[in-house]
Amino acid sequence: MSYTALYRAFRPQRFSEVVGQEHISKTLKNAVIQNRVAHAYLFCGPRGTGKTSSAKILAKAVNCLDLKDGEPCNECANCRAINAGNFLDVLEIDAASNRGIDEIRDIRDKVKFAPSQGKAKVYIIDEVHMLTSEAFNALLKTLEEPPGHVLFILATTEVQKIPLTILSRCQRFDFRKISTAEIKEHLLAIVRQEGINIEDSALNTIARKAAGGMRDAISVLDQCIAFAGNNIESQHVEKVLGTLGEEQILKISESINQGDAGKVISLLNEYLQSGKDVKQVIRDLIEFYRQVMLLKLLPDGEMITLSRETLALVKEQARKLSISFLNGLVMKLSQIEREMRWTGQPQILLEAGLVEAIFQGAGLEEQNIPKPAEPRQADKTVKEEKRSKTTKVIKEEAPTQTTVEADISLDIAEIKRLWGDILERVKQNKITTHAFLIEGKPKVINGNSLVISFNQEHKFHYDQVNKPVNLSIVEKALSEVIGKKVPVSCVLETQNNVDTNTQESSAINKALEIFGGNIVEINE
Amino acid sequence: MALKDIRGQDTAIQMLKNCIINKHVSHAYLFQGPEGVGKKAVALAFAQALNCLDLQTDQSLPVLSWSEIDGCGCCLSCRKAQKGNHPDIHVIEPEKYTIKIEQIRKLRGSVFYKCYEGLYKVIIIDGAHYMTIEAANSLLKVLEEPPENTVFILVSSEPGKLPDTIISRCQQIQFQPLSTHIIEELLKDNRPEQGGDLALAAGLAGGSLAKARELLEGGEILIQRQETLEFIQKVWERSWSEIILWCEKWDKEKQKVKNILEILGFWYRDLLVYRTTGREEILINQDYLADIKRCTLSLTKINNALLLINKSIKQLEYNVSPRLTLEVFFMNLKIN
Repeated sequence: MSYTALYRAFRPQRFSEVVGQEHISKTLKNAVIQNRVAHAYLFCGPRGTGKTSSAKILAKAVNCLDLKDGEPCNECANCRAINAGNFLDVLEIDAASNRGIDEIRDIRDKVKFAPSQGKAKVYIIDEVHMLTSEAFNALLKTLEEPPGHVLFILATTEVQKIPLTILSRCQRFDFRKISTAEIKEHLLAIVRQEGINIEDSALNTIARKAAGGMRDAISVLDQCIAFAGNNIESQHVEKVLGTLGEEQILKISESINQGDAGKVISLLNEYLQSGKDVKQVIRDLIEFYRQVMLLKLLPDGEMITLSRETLALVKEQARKLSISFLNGLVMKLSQIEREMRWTGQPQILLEAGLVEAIFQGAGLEEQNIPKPAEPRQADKTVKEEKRSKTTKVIKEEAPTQTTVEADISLDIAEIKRLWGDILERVKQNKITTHAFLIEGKPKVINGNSLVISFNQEHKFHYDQVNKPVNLSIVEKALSEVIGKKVPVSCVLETQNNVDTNTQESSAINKALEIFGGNIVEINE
Repeated sequence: MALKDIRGQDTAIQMLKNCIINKHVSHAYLFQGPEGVGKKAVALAFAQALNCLDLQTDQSLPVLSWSEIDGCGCCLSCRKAQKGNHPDIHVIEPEKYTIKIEQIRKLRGSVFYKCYEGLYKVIIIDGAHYMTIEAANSLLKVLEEPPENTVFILVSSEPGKLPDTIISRCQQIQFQPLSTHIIEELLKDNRPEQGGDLALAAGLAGGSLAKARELLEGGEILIQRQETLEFIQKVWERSWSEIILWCEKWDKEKQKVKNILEILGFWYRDLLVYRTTGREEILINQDYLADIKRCTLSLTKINNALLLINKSIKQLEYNVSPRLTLEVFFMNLKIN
């Protein structure tokens, strides 16, 4: 005897068993009781919300010989025949495979025959969005005025693909996603019936992962049972789904919040090597930070699905973080998730994205750039404060660093290489200074001081940078980036080394630089 | 190949074996994971195990031990499965890039016949994401409620492209990238003569055996990598003319430009990882360790470079001219 998947074994058999769609069940039940069943229904909604199941129940209800308060009895001959799938008057048509006009013509031709077994002839047309437009049009007339004994039920996940002419002829029912709590409750009922023990947090994980689809949830549960037998713990679920455990998420989020990029990358590599899927990891992180954000916005909200033990820890995290930081992080992570479709190396993308998010949170502050492995205890606290008020902290921090003694071993090459960073630092402090400084170039080290040269045509910029206010900003940025106090002076490049046909030769030089090659003189 | 011969997918195989032991074989599985890690091999081996005659007679036993759950490899059914002519194991593959609705319709017809000789009718759809949208939709009904003893195995490296409605009907089995030393060993079994290159190829393959083989076969990739890495380290000092000339070399070579960008991706990733963690063992370019340590680019720049690389790879997918992509990449890299 082969095994029947749980989601098939536990397909709802009466309206009251359909989870989370009370607005629909009630309407349909009343229609049956009052004998006001319409001739055409359209059931639409996301996967696993009960469309096909409701269609089957309705088919039974209109044919049942022993209707109980609008519910099919599931015991009379008709109900049993429908459940077994051999009732002549309930026709389940897969529109995705029979999508042509010929199939619809076939229906149209047979509609007029009276039911042979039951009270009404029910056509369940599933995946109806896949019909061709000719087929839809061929259906229109029949759908509008079918013979009295006929009931059409159309079911689809993509209602936007259905022509308006079809929509206007049907009673439309929108199935909604099933809430996590409802899914959990239903899973619990199944588990009890099957005699299976399962941890509460494991159920939470499954319900969350299902994202509103009951079939997804039962499928995962089924998979967990196949994997772990009758005693399911959360670690089994994590293994089946490849998700991170709550503990692991807490660990990595803690590091993200502290801005400890090194630890984040280390942890990430550890998790991935232990067999977690990159895409799942990022989804878990997004979901986690969403929960933190919800916690912050609605502390007593019902949407929070964290287990009780972690809740306290997460609340602690939530308290420290600002909404804007959380928001930025969730946005960034979602962006990475989208980008992942395109890359063959999702891990790299995630690593880069996380580091960027961390430094964005910290206002892109970098500390001790060339020395990676050093413990950075002191920095951490500074960084945490910085996240809240970036600019202020920089100002406070600056004096301590400028007191560093000047060092003779200045290297112009190093300054040139770090020039971009220095500019950036200046920009953060005062954007106008940056605008002036950008025209200057570090030229030489003169004794202990750095000489920045300006071209003749940028005399204005030269004058501005030479003002004490701006000079001090540049010096401060220098000392922050290279860790040494360096006085700065500016010079204006004089004209004497540039000959009269500057314009022309500079253009030639530029061309040479871009295209390469030699200068050839042509004498005619 | 039997289940026991497949390396590095222990979790997935364990799950499948548990399904057989607990008699919980589902009617639809989705095997998902990167290219070249053994998804299809596992699918075939699982089909073989399901139909193995020895195992069938054993099924009266209450509990089977781990190692026994496997195709025996010598019964009639197993031999047929290995030769690929078992009448109850069907493999569906893309015809000219897509799996068409006709293929699925034909399949739907055959599903409803009884098994010829096996216990299970196994239908393996390789490259399931190549199904056209019509094909996928026409599979839905039969995938949800197939006849008894039918097992669908959808194999896909890009499950994100499958409709939700398909995924929600399957049990998803996640396959992992292979670890570097497993790839190395597998490569070694195949070609013992190549020494040092194996480790490198294994490292660069990003967990895919197929990719590692590709790397080894086209030995030029390693040369290309060396060239690229030497070039990128000096890119800040190079003039525009040199850069443009270098890019010109790869004119119209889409695959090679993609390789270059991927190589650069690994390179900057290593820089990033080393800069932030200081750990050597998780780096990919182990042979360039000294250069990685020496590099002093700022984190902002490294990050920018990674974003640029990603953008450029995306552009290549959109069919932007490879040479142009590369040139623009270097310009952005230098200007930022």
